[in-house]
Amino acid sequence: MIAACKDFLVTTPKNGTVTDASFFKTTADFDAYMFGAYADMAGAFDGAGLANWVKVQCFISQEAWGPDEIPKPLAQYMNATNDQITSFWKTFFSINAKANQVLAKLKDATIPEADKTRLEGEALFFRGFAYFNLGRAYGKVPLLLKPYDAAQNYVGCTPEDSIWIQVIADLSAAVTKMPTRTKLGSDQLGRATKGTALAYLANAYMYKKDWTNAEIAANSLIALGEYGLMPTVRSVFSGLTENNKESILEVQYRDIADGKVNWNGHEVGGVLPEYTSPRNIGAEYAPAGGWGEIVGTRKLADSFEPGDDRRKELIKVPGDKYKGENMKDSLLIPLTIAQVHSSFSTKYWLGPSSDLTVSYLFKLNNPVMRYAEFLLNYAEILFMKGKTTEGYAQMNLVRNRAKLPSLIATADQATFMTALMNERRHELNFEPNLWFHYTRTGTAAAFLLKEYGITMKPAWYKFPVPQAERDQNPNLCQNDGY
Amino acid sequence: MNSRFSQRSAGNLLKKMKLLIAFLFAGLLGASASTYSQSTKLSFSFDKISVKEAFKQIEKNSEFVFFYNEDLIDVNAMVSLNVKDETVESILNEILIGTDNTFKIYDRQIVILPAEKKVSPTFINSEQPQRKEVSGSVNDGSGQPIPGVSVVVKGTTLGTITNMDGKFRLSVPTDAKILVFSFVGMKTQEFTISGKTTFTVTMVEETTGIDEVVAIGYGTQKRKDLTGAVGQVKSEDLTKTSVIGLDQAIQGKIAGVQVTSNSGEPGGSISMRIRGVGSINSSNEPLYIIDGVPYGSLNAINVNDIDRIDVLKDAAAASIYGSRASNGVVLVTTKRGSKGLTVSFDAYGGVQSVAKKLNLLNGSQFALLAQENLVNAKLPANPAWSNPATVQNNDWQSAVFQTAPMQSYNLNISAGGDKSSTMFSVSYLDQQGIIIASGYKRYTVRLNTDYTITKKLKAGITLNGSFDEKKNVGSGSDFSGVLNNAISMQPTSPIYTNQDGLFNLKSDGSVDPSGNTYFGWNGYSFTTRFADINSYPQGLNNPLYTKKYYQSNPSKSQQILASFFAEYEIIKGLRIKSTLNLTFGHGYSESHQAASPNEITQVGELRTLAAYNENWDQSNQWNWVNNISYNKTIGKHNIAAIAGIDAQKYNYRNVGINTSNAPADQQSISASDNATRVVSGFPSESSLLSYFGRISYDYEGKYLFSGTVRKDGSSNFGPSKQYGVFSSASAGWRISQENFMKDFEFISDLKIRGSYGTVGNQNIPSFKYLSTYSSDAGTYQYTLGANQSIINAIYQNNIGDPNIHWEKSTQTDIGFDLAVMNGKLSLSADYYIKKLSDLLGYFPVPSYTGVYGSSVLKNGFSMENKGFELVMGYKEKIGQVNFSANANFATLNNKITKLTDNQAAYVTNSISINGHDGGAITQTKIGERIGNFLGYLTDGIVQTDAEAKANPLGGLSAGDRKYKDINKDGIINANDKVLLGNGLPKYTFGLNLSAQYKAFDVSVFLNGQAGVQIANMLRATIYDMRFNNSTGIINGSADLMNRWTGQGTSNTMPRNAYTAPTSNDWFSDVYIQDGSFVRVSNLQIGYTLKETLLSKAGISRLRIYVSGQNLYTFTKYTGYDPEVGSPNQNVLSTGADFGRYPLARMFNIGINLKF
Repeated sequence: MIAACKDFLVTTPKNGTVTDASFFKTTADFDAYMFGAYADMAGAFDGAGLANWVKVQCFISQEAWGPDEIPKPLAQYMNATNDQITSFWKTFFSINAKANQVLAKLKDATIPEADKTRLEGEALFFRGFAYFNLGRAYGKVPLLLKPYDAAQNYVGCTPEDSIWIQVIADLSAAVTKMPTRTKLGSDQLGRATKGTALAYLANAYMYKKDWTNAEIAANSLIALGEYGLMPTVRSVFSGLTENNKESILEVQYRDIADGKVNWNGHEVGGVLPEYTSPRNIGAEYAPAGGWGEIVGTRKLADSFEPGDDRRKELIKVPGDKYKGENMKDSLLIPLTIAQVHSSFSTKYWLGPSSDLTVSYLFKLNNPVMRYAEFLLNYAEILFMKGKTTEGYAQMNLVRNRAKLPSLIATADQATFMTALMNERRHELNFEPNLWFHYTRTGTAAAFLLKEYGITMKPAWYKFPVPQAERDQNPNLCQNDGY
Repeated sequence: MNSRFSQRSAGNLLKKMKLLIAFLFAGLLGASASTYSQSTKLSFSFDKISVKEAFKQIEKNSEFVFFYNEDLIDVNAMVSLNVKDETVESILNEILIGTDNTFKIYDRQIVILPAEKKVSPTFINSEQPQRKEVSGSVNDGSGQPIPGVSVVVKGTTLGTITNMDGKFRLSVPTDAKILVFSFVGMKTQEFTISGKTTFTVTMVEETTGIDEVVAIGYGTQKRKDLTGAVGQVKSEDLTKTSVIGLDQAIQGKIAGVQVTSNSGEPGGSISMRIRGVGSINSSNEPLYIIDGVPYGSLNAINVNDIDRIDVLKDAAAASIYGSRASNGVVLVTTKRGSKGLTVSFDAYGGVQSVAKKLNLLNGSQFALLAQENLVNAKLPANPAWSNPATVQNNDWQSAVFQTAPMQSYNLNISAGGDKSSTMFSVSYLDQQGIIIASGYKRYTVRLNTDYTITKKLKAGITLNGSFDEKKNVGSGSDFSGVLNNAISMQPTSPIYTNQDGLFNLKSDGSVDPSGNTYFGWNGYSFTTRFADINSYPQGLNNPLYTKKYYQSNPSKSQQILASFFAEYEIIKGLRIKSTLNLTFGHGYSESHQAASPNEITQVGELRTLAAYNENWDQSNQWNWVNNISYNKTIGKHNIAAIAGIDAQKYNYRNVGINTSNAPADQQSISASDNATRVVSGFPSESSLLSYFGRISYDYEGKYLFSGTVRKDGSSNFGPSKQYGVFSSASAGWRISQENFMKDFEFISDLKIRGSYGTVGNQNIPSFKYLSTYSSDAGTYQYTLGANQSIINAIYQNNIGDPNIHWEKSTQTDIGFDLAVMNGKLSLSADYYIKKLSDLLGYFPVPSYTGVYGSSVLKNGFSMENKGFELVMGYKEKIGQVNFSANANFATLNNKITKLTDNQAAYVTNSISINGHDGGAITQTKIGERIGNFLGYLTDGIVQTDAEAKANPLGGLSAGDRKYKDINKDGIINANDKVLLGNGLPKYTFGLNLSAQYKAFDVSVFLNGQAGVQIANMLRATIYDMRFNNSTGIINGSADLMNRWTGQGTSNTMPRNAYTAPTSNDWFSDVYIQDGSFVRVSNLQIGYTLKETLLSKAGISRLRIYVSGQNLYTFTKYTGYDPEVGSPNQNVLSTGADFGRYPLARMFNIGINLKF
């Protein structure tokens, strides 16, 4: 009778709701959960993810602005209530939470050992990736290594040094567990691999100025033999060459999902084409017309060396002609659509390639980390290790691809760093990592002063911790100067 | 001077209070002896007075009452007496010494009887020649004989009283027709003699006032013994008027119970708030128990079947229902059969109409202002509006409102014999809606049967079935639908057309400059998509068409309730009872969407294809209650106890089929598959297992105590939190029963009572304690692989808190019941403090935790309701006029005491109707009432361009609205919003007056509320002529005639311009209106035909009446109706008026017929 009573009060839903009792049972369950981290990267319509990362980079460096905020003083942008900075925080913590959940649930999972290792590697990579970004953006942040529980509410900040130790530990462990890109089935193309972890690991060591380990990591990536530069700068950003050999981590987009546009959820298409094209430009450029959310400065366009293919192929200013590979016609970008002092990155424009009536989003994949960026990092590592010639050699690979002549190696660090940062500026603009190279190398203040006449406050080397977060957690730190 | 005076009177009052307390204390101490007659010691000294006078003296100095028949007892004999502290027994022995009389003491009643030998055959008036003898016995229903019952031949003085064994014997004239049995505190009964010689009479206690029975959950109690706070509505109050639903039955009748209809549409649902809101994120509705069965389908109950409704308000009364009682309990008891055969037929019919329309612009006013709106914005004028005097004037409100008939029929048959009794009823209600195409129909059948199988075994069956059908026009509590469309339609637009197709358009589709921009379709008129987009609203449908073809959504439901009980008395007073309740519900709804003409993109093309939706659901519930009860009186100690087990299981299944893109209008799901079809379902189940017990004790009906405990297990909570224990204790003291109260003769009853206890609310969505994962395709997905396949990412959509448990309500109640002048005036008052804690709330967590939505549902919010309730009744007979008045009044003070650990926390809730109101919200903040309106304070209208430039809002022109910079920071932003009011009434009241003169009766019922504000959200639409959903000009309020037209013209209504900033419409004090009202809810005049006229037709009673409902509302509110309630049942939106279906005004004529 008592047993019967116990059963009487049902404790599991019978309507097909997925709960802990029914989930995290199979490899497919874990994979499906892990994909959430990828979806977070993709972001799209919820104003998060990659498009936002690009925006934050561009806006802080003053190299680009939205149409309504040219020029918005940096002092106003760098504040704790900034939506984009808040969103940046949320996205990486969301990725971290997914990684932690997978790691926690894997402990008791009875799935094939090989799958377990692979998933563990992937989750460790994402945790490392999340804290890599949080560490370089905010410095000290709460270090969460377990899924949420009620006691986790009021975690304080962990010093930045410890964050980097954790990032290196996670990425190092990930390297040993993740498959190489070659081993990845073609149906899995787009997932992070051993090479991805190595690229970030090398970059992480650079923050510790541990050039020896950075070089080891970088060498390991090159030893994989899986990566190389694409022949032209345009072909890096091409719908015809997605997941090419230059791709280390690339957000996968496509145009439509079952013919439905989902304005509220995570879409399968990207918004960078709309963001980076002039407001009100026709659908010939961006599927839903231009929104002009990320408009470059004329200064950026004018800073290229003559003959730089990247200026010719990837940057347009009013009056320029443009013909992308999927474009119907050559078009003249009219002067009236944006400010005369503007420039536009065409990295993400490839014109219409699908039925506009069913999709407002763009199918082109967008890079998060690519081999060209890695090579520039590698150049820095080698130079710092005293391998001057080798360092210049890596940088020249990137220059040559842009049809620029090789630079002559010189042991002067300042000369090298100026050249390298200039190279990064022209290679990595409108991508998600550029600003952090300025802050890591301590060149941000000089850059802003020289290019935009802005005296940078030391505080701006780190983002402010979002005020909304601090409202919820009295123990949460704030960076100095905010 | 003034202060000295009040000090003095306060001192006096204090002295009096002290005296009273000393008095009360003395009384309490005197209560320890065993029985009243034993414990009461009397002292007398009198010389030579009559026995009658001696009895009077005793009555005066004690609670004893004497009964005797002066024909049998010689009370004129003279006696002398000198006793000190003697019991009444010994005093009587002394008084009656030397007579043949004996006596018997029944608690406080003393019956003087002739000596035994003289009792049998008692002949009176022995000279009457033609006589026969009748005899019999009288008992109290439980088989106990009652001595001293007066038995009299009607119309004569001839009679006797029953002896010690309750027996009587009487010689009556052969032509004697009727015997009348009477006894104090019992109902007087008449029996026809007609050949009968033996009578067995069961006296029934008179249930008036304090003796009336109150349902208290798994049992009943007499009101005089009640220690909890219970409000009641009786059938007499219901059948008098044409009450359609339970809402009207209760509304305004019980202090502290606020009933609002969520929508005025026929068959619309209701909200009931007992002593305020009890929850923020869970249900606020009370538990409804119909004849012992937990039952939520209130529409399935025919109000004519209801015998009484008891509302359990405090914890003491409600805690027997434990985890479901936090919002109070409503117990509905239906009528059951009684002895004899009674057939009654009640019917009424009448018409309903809308009580009030919004004051909108008429055609010429509209044309004037619409043109001005364009011109002020430097937009091209519309030639169609160039001459306001000649435009059409169509009142779209009148087009959608109608005078709607309604009718109701009810047949009730009550039949009963010694072994069984039955109540059968059948009813039909047909109420058309005051908005065309809406309406409600209902059929109900009920059969209540009771069996007395043996003396100890009783059983009963309750069956109730109902069919209903509701037609809804998509204008419930929401801010969309027919009514709101009608408000927005241009009065210059034709309603109908006499030709179909496009007309007066140029062949290229452009608008003819003559201004005709319509086309006809199915007889209705539409604006084309080619019409000038600034002049004509894009995407606004013809509401008549919408109603007729687009949204005719019938929903039908069938409800069956079957209940069976058996009760066995093991030994006297000890009963076991088992009850099995089964309920079955079935619902069906459909919605059609004809291929729509409103989105014409090319000439002649209908873009939207037809859609058809069907939804089926089925629910069933079983409930098994087993209990054991014991009632025992030992001397003056009365004990009643009950214990039981209650198990309940609920199952729900539904299937919804939505088809879209169908090529033609569909009437049902078609077999062909040329449409997009989506099937969905949301099954659920829940169970509840409970153990309960209650013990009541009273001493002499004077000192009353009651305690209740219930242990509930609910499937809504995690395994470790399924069980909860709820208990309460209460006590009462009937001061009027005390000796010292004898001096206050005018007080017929006085009781003070107090209670304390805890109840819960388990009515939350199931399984919230579980973490759940969503695999909804399309919400979280990613592309992978060379083929770019779409994969669904599964993500956590709920962070389960395994500790989620009951919401808790701890209530303290003190009150008193007072009846004076033999119950002519009664007064009952309560003060309560209801502390609600562990309320479920979404606790924000930092987003770094990665929690979905950054919040977790947990227990932890708290609030408090305090209030005072007063009920007054007055009865008076002035000449031939019987007059009665019943009034109730309640106050309610709500305060949020805790929202999160963070003291600055608040919860906001959107009450925005459109993009123009600047995101209207309510804010729920610690220390404040729940759901305060939060918005700006207006600061008049900008009068000059210079002033506009200087205004911190920026972008203003002369004629735009200004707002106050509350925090004086030079910026107008969200930080300048202030609390503007609250939709929860602080005061609610009701007044029922009735009078009867000969065959006429008249009653009037008023109810109302005060201390309440309404956010008139419709103003976001009607105070701005620019269509807020898209482009175009819509109709607006007549208040727009007072718009600003130049410096000094207006300081309240901004300028009328298409391009005026939306800040003119921001949510502010402009929207807030006083929601107080007094409503003449019901007025009824009846006439009862003379019995003599009817008896030939076999009719025992015929009453005809006329009644009017919702006759007039005294209010300052300008919307349809100040009774707004909580739209969408969301307590945080209370008082926000989105343009709900207004309450109808009704006039009925009806008959009550009894055979």
